[in-house]
Amino acid sequence: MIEQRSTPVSPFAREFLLRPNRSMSARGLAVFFTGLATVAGVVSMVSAGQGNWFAPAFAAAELAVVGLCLRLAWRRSGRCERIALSDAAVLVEREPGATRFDPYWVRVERHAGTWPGEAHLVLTSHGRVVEIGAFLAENEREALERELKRALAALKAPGEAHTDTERR
Amino acid sequence: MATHAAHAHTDHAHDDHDHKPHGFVNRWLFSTNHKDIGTMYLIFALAMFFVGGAMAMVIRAELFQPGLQFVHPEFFNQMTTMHALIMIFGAVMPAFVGLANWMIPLQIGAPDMALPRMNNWSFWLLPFAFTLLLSTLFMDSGAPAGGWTMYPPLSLQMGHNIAFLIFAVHLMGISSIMGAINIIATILNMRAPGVDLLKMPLFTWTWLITAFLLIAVMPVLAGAVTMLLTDRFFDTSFFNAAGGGDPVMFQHVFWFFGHPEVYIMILPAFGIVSEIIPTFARKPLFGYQAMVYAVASIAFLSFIVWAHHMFTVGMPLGGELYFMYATMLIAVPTGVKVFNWVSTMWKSSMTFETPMLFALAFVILFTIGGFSGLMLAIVPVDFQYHDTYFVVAHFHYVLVTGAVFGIIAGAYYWLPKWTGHMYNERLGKIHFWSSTISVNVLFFPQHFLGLAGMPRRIPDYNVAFADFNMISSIGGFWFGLTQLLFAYIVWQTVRGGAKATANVWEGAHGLEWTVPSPAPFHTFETPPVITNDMLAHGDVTH
Repeated sequence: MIEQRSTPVSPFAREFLLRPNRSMSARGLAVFFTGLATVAGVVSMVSAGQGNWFAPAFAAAELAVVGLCLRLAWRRSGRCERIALSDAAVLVEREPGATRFDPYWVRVERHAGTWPGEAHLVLTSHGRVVEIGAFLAENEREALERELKRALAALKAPGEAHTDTERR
Repeated sequence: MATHAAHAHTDHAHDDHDHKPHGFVNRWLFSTNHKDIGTMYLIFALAMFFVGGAMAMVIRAELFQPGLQFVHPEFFNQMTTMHALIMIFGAVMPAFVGLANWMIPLQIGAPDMALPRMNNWSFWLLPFAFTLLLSTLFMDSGAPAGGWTMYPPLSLQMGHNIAFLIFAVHLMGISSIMGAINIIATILNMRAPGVDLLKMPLFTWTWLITAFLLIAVMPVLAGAVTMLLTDRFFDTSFFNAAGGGDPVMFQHVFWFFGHPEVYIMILPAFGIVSEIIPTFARKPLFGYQAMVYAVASIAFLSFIVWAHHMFTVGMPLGGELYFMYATMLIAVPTGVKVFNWVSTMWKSSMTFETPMLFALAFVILFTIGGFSGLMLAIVPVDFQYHDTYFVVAHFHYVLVTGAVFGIIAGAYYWLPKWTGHMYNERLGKIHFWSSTISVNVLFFPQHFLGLAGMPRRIPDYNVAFADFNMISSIGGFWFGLTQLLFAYIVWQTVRGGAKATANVWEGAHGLEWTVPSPAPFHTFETPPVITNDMLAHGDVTH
């Protein structure tokens, strides 16, 4: 998922927030967990009613682990990359750390991967290469490449880009 | 060259696309790759299948003739108990988890399982669990001999082996729960854009429901076996009548877990067959959504029928009637599934490669097991059949020609995707026919033995049962030997053979068939762009 927004720094400054696809919303996951916990809870209570005194304790411990794991998996899929473009720098932020490029030298390129048809989108300058949006689908990366190139062009030649935009 | 140099500097670790970890320990012991872990599960399950199978051979050798020939009755009972525990918890369940590990990420376009380290842990618990369990064979008291159901007071009268059994069951339970959590987290969180819930392959759907069932019932098993443990070693009297406890209570508690467990062992097989039949019938699955709802209905019904395993222990007439009718109700969603499989094949362009042959045998033979299950559901009839070989015949039709045939069908279906080679079709067909004939020679006569009154779990029997037992044993040795051929076919396919294409089967649809064969070590690191026609059930809206 790509979210693009302007920043108040300058008219040509842009910010791109990249997030991997999550196939279920937080609400959906919560509903699922509530359903699972209800079923497991009812089953263990019925079993306790039959005389299985330990079942609710095991169910509680198990559901705590299930909840923790679902939360962990959810947070892992929530990693985010932020690409901030301004006159001063192109900043790629992600866990852990950030990489800074000079906006006038940085290039958006495609690098071939190891298997046929595989390509990585990278920002490169002065021998440094940073892959961006590795978790995006191909159509999303194409869109990101297009938008980044346009935004960088606007930064490098603000007048031209401005005129271009006005003409359009 | 320049590109490679540049890539060495990139922040992302995409330099190991098909570079597997070096060294045996790194590759397998510390593996977090879903394919490698899936492979380990499958190899483990196959090994356990042969260990449990060897025990079955001991049982059938002893039963070849009336009288005691080879083993003492005590050891015979150890064999029946260990055979069941190993086949259920060591062969069938790990095989399904192995298939899930291999195929679910590939079917939903995910790069791996959601929690890869936990995945590693859930596998590596199993060898320890089964070492504990199998070590009891070398103890003075021998292995557990009170049946896989561990009914007290018998199970508590057999020395310290029960502690090892209970600890092993706890470990298997923890492993199953972790596997189930991983499957749920993966399916919910990591489906590629476009893989909606109601477009998922049936195998993935059945596993989602199975994982749900596993999480719901495992605490019940854990509680039940812990109560056995405290009764045996901490002087509690949960199941000890002399101390005010109730042995029948264990049966209720056990089967409240045990019946859903039965479905845990068959639902993924439903999923496998629902993938294979449309492929070789070259038609979309008939009634996709009905299939999903039928599986969910079966899962629900599994919670409310447990006492049909214990009609003879005594319960109110109302209870017997309720459990009888509730059990018969299961035939409705199961019938929907069988109807839909048959309808998928109706007027289709079928071919009969080995996976399809096993899937067809599954449909026919599982239905026979289902019918004998219906017979057992009828209370007055069950009073005659209970604890006879009729029950043994019933659950082996469901578990061997059901679950095991489903697993074998899945193995043949996906083997070219895993190995990159086509298996030997001629040997596969020999394996199929030999297995299908021998399994019927093995188990069909057991119906007659049960109807004639031969009890289960006995090493010696009345001479009146001699002929059918001899036929059954011949079928058993034949079936056992035939499975060595399966191991050879798998080994041969891993070693080489005709190169498999990405799509492998002409009629195959689904994301797993869009990646090369063998599937690269890392797949779908970038989410695929999906159209409905790429999905196994993408265009199916009915």
